[in-house]
Amino acid sequence: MNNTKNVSRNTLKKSSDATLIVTKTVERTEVIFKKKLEKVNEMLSKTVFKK
Amino acid sequence: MSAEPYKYNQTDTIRYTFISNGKKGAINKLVEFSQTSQKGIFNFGFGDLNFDGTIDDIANSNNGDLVSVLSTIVHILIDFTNQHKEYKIVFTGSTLQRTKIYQQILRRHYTNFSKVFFITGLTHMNDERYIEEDFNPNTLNTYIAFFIKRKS
Repeated sequence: MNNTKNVSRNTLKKSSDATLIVTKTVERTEVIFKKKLEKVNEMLSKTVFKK
Repeated sequence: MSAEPYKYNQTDTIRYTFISNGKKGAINKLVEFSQTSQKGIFNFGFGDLNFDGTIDDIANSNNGDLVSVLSTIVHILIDFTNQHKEYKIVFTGSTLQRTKIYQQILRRHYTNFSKVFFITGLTHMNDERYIEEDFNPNTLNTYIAFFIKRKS
């Protein structure tokens, strides 16, 4: 029973870790792409577009 | 692009992932199209998903499969613009070196790319502004950024 509980707890922990990693990935990805997007937006605001 | 593209997944309307399998093993890649401040223009973001969950858009993976990666990116660009033919995609390198590499690739494959996409490039004007002009594959100048839009 104790083993079952440990396995369940470990599985839950791994699952929780995985969720945390995915969450952090999305957050960090958004931060990095957001920074780049800000630079691109600044560039586009000074751009004369081809008609 | 003669190499076979990797299989990719569209994880939501603006994100794609695929796995690069090269000499260093498997590397997760992420492509993201973000709406810019200009209506109808989307920024092309591309990077490596690291094991620790971070993303690196500067890394040179050097995984020995550049042509397959580029081929996959082209297929993703075609897939995304199939869904949004009216969108214009802007892309620039995270470093000057990478922007130059993009330009070399566009120059090398201009004949094929220009059948599918209108291609323009961004250069400096005399003042602080930039100007969009038709991409010239023979120019010796370095563009700052590139735009592509589906022809049909």
